Amino acid sequence: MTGILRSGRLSASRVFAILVAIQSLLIAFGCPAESTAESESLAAWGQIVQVLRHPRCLNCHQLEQPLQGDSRRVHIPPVVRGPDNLGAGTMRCYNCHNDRNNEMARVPGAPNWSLAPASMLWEGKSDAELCELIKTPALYHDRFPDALLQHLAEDHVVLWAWHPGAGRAPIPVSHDDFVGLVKIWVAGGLACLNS
Amino acid sequence: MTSETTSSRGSGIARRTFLVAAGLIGGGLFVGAGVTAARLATIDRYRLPAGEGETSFGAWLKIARDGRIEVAVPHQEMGQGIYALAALLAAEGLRLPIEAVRPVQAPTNAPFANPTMLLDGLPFDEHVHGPLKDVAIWTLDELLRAFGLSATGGSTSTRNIAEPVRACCATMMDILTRAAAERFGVETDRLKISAGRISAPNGETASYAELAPEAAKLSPRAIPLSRLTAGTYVGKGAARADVPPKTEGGAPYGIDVRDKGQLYAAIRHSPRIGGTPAKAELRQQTPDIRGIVTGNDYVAVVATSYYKAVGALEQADISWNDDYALNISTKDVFAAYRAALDDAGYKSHFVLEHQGDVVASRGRIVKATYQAPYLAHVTMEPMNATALVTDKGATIWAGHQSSDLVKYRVAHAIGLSCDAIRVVTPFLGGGFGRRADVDYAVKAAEIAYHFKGTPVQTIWSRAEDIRNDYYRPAAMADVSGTLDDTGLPSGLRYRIAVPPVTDRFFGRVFAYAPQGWLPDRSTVDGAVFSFYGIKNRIIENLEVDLGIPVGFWRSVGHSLNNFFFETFVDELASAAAVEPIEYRARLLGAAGEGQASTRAANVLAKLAKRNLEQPLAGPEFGGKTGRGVALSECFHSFVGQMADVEVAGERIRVKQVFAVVDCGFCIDPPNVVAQVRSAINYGLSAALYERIDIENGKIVQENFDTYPVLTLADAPEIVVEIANSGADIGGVGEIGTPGIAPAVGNAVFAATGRRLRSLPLGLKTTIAPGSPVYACSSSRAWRRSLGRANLSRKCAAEKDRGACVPPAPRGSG
Amino acid sequence: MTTLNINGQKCDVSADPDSPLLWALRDDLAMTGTKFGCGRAFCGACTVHIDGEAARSCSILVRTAAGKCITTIEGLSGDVPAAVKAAWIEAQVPQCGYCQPGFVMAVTSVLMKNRDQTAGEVLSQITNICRCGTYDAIRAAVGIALKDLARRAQATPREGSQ
Repeated sequence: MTGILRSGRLSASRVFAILVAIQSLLIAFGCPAESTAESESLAAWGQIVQVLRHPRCLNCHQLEQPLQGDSRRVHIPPVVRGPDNLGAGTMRCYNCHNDRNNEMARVPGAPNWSLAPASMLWEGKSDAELCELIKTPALYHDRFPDALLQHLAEDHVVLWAWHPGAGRAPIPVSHDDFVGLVKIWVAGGLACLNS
Repeated sequence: MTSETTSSRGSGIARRTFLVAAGLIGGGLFVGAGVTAARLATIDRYRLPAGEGETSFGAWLKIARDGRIEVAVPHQEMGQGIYALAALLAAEGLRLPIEAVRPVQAPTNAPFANPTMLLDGLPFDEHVHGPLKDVAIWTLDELLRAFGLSATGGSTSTRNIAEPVRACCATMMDILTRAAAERFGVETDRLKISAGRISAPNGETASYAELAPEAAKLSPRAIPLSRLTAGTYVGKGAARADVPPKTEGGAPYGIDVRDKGQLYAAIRHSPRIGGTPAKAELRQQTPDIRGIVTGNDYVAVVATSYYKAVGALEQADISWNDDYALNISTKDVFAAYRAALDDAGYKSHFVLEHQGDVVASRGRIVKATYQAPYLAHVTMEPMNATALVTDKGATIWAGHQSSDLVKYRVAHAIGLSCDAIRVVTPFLGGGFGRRADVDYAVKAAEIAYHFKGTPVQTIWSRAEDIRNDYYRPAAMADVSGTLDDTGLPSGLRYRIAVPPVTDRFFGRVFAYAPQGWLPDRSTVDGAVFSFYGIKNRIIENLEVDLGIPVGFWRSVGHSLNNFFFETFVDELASAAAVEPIEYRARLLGAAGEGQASTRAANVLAKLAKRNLEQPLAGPEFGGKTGRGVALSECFHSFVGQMADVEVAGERIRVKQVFAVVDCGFCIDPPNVVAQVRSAINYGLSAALYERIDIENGKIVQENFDTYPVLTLADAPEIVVEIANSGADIGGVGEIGTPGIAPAVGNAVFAATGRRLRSLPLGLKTTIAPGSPVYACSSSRAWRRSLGRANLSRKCAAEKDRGACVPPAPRGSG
Repeated sequence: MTTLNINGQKCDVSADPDSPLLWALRDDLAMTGTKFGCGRAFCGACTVHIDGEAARSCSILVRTAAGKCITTIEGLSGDVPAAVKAAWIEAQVPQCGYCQPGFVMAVTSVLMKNRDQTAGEVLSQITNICRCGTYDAIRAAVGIALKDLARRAQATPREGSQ
């Protein structure tokens, strides 16, 4: 299923949206007898991970250099992480990025624009590995899962992914639905597939 | 092979052009006499306009009100240093310190001309001299001077003005000394000239400005010019007066014009080549948005600021009529080239050179096909022009490469006479040949026409600039050589499929210019009339034009043919199992004692010397290293280049380039070094990264992300040695560009055995190979992942951490 | 109206707060030393200093720059800018010159933060684009500027980087 979803972004987003709709319907109208909170949690994770792998998230969850655009090429002009995740030398993130998008320059922006911490890297990880990583309490200074929920629900750089500006595809599912999925995942016990 | 007949004797002139030349000579001799008379009425009689308190001397020099000397320059300053060079020659000729001379743009309504540029484009072998040919050239030179078309290009500015400026200086000094002699009542040979003053033996002295009123009454005498030799500045150089203002942000460019009440226009051209506007309506209606203008192939929104104009343009309801738009793509272009090359009867075909009998030469055959893409110019200052149009006339402020062309084309576009157009020329933020096509000035005038009485500045966004260029054409060439038993080529056939660039350029300038009657020598420059001793050779171009706009790009045809030709020479060397420098030495030896091959051999010898003294260094990034060479003759100058590369994976890193330059007598060596470095970097950027693609009639690339260029991180160290051969002054501005692509390609072959026959050379399309290293980065994982380029080893050492001061916290002032 | 602090002076600009600072400088204030090269923060021709750090004004919005110390090429002063400009002139760096104010701004910002770097360390932080390829001269100029600054530091005690 995930293979099919990965093969084409456009079809992936449509399938994804349909899945979420179906999931919501099932939840709203009562689930078949086999559904448990745990299997709901697992199903929710399957959709959450698609968002996490979307370019709007993945492009900044990189080791040393952010990526740009739906084509995901290396950031131009060249920038690196730097000692505090905010760039180095003359190329500090805030030397070009504002707290909002600059449409004339096509430069994205949000408050606290920066690379994600190096501890939050998941490119190339499988669904299960990523799942284990995301729910590592130490990453959240032991404020897990509140800190995760807060990050995904309120953090400006996350909200940006839904309003990324011209030329960048937003996350194909609504932010509210996404937050809802995260809550389901948490409520159902942070289910991860063992693979 | 071809049905077109050619002269098969070694005259180097194709039959059709021979007839043209004969006609010109015959008619020329008749016309020449009258033209000379006409010319004497023009530039030789022209005096620079002089206002109150000013005195002018001939067409070139003026004593200004502040006592400094102004030298009129009929060429535009685009970084090549022509303003500084004119000042240098004037300072030398007038025995003044360089600070006392100020270069200014020559008046636009003055009969300055640049015949050198047009003559260079004639399809004659410049190495072959003979009375008939010399008369033809002289006649054309007179004709072109009489026409008075001035332009900046073809690396001709210095060659064009050196003699006239020096002659004018000699005449002016003669007048001033005669005036001083009269004033002091002594013979001229008893006067002393020093630091801008002329002194009598008794101590009486006067500055040039003080002598000016008397001097103005004396008539000029032609003074025989001494040969150019080293002096105070000549042969040494002088500080450029434009450097401080350009460093401090005070130098004005076209885009910096700020007139009171000026409006701004944002322009958008048809996305597909050949499209026209179908509908253009504003959606924003605020007092700041002054209107929307529709042109032939563009739409423009005019507003009180550029930002507002861009916003309104984005919002506007615009659609295009694509009935006559192109729908071809890059692959169609190369397919058409391939088909033309394979077509024995291809009609639009010129033989530019035919020596000996290629068909009869026997031996081992070496063949290759080469190709190169369209290239954009990408001047740092995007296209722009400011125009103020009234019923009586127009003023155009713009960086350009010919004030005559601006005048002519703007006048034609808005229905005024040429004399009613005034052109104001600031510095150019890059020319490279793009600004010779003055469409940006025409469009600005057309737009300003709708706002008569108000200056309107039309700015092209970078995307508009890249997508509406006149590109260096793409080309494909089939080259084959037959090696004799000494391993040298006894026969060479060179066929290139390419559009006729010069024809297209003149077709844009003069609507009724006949097309296709003169072979375009520019498209085989770099292959034709080669200094190598190849007895039997045929150089032909097949004109294939699919409608993509093409124009002059730095070094023009040399940028294509030098890569194709010098890569092929390297392939011949490889086939003959001879080292590339030695092979070229043998090829030059086979040419005999001609001036061109001798100069090329001297340049090559210096490359050989460097090769021994500075052997190729070992790898720095775990790749394979290699060294490659290329020779070129470009605009009468000879350049040899040697590139050291390291190839790691799919990336080419050029570490160092050594260039030897014989540009004839070298007036300003430091500037020659700067220009050659500039041209090498420009050519290297194209060689490694640049390409313009077309998809369904639309240009794909649009900014520095999709059209990557060379940056500080990947620019090599370039060492330039000037070899003063004492020959006539050759061109300088473009001569470094052709040789770098083949030198690097040949180096890659030496390193890896992979022969690259197609540009750009990047084995994979990449952005700059070396990411800059930020000395303060503490991420070891990043440094490990880089594993290559430019790692500052000191970064790893703890003791150097202290040297890195963290950035000041944000918010502190 | 937005009030901007430019080169130590308060300037009122009517530019849209969501417009790039570059156009407020060039069009509202006719300060044309800061250049338009690409409009998308790729090339650095538009570099200014904001609170002492190099910033690309085609990307930084007027509202982001409000309330901060903006320095343009016209307003550079102090021993680091003086050394850099003198070095640029000694090395005869500019050819067409259009990109050079951006380079000067970038290099001065690096040296104003820390003048005890090697030329290589300084140059590795400069990502501006020059189409005239003046890179060799830029490398020479950075070396000259560092030597000059070191000499000044020896001659007089440093009051603080400026």
